[in-house]
Amino acid sequence: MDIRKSAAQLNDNEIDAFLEAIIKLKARKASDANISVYDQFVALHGAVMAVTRNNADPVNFAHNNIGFLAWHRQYLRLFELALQKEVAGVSLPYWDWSDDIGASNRLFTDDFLSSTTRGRPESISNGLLRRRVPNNRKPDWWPSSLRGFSVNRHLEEGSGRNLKRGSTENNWPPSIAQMQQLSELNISIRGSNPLWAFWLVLEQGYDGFIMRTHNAGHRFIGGHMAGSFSPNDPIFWMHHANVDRIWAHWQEFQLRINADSNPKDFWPHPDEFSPFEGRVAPLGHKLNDDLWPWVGSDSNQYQSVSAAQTILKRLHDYSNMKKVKVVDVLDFEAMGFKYE
Amino acid sequence: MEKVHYLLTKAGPRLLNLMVDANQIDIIVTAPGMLCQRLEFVTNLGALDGCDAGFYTELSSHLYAQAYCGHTSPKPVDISVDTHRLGAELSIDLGEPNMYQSLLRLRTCSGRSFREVIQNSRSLPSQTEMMAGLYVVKAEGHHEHHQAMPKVKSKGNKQSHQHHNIKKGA
Repeated sequence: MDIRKSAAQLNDNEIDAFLEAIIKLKARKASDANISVYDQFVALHGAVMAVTRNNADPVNFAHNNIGFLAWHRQYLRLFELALQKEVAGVSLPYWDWSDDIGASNRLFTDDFLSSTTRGRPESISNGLLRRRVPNNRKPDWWPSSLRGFSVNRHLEEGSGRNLKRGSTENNWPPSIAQMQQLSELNISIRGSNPLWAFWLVLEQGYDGFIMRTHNAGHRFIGGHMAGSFSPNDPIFWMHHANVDRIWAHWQEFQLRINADSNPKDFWPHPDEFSPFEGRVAPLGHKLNDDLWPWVGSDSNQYQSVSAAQTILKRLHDYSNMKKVKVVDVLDFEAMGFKYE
Repeated sequence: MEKVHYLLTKAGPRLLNLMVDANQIDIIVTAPGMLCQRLEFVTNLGALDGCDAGFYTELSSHLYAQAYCGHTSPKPVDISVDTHRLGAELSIDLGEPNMYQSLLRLRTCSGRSFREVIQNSRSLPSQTEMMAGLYVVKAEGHHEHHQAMPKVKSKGNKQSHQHHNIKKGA
């Protein structure tokens, strides 16, 4: 069982191992495309924004609806397993948004993920995420093929190949109390499954309640983190590990207060109408839907229309992998990880 | 002056009160261009009450807005007045499309509050009681499928989706 810890609580050895895994994955050439394994993950995040099945209307499999939670859980787990191929025993740390002092003192430092900047997006100028890391700053494990942590030219979205950040969020961070409130959010709109309201607040925030959640976090970092290829910035993985952690805590809370329940009870029935849209969840967001691109031999039925061919042809081919449905990712311990 | 902020989300409020005693309103827009397209000024008064085309033009000249999308530098956005058979319409652009959210900072040019700017319009009789707000216009279609595409100038119909013809196999 992999234990995901707060990034601000990692010791020096754990930080070094995580950075080693990230950097090596960035250098690792994919077996099936002319791109690194790390960048294949980045490309997938752009490609999932609009996917059609049998030429039906495109759907964002990963955002703007409840499948946001399931898709990213599966995505993060695959990334974590890829990291472990580089450095055994590494697990994804999470960025605890409410521990701002810990993040400032430990996470956003030269020794870890480099600092944040305010205002106009600017290139990272310290630490190991620079496009050119001086030789005398490279750790012993640094891959000889890599000069630094440059953004792939197909995935830079007009922001350039130097990793950039620039915060325009003035109201960060959320408080500990707000995060606790979110983990125990139990709003059932007209008898609907409480996941609807929980997901909305966690992904988008809600005025008058908690505004500083997932979307605000992307804007708090800014730069590449504010685009479709946001995983270009390694903070993405820790940001989403925290999203997933809050969902995991919410699931545990629901199981605790609802006797004889199981995780499936806290995902809407496939026929349940969204209280926001008055219709069932779109493809990829319902309990028994496949999560693209982990659709096995059905991959020829699906087509991403959100990315250019130069990007699509570099995606990893998952057609030989077992299908993954929403229902398959509800039990995170069964997937092999939990949170400290 | 009081601080005013709004957050536009899926299924969130669609009408934002503009009759506020503040000269700056921060509007956090979730997925501009994807969920939300633009803001339209709405009021309960018509042209014969003073809210004629001249009112809209005058009001637009008193407002200034910048979008902070995080992906690029803050940029001024268009505040435009269009005329339709139904009447004049004041629209505020939301800046560049964004997957997550952007901040739209709306200010009065004079530093006076929005309430004062609106009520002191030369077009309106003094002391007019009125409602005024910004209506959130929904985005049409599924803009994400433009989002990760290279930025190229399209030829012909802006609404055409030529990249739907790309080969399968992703």
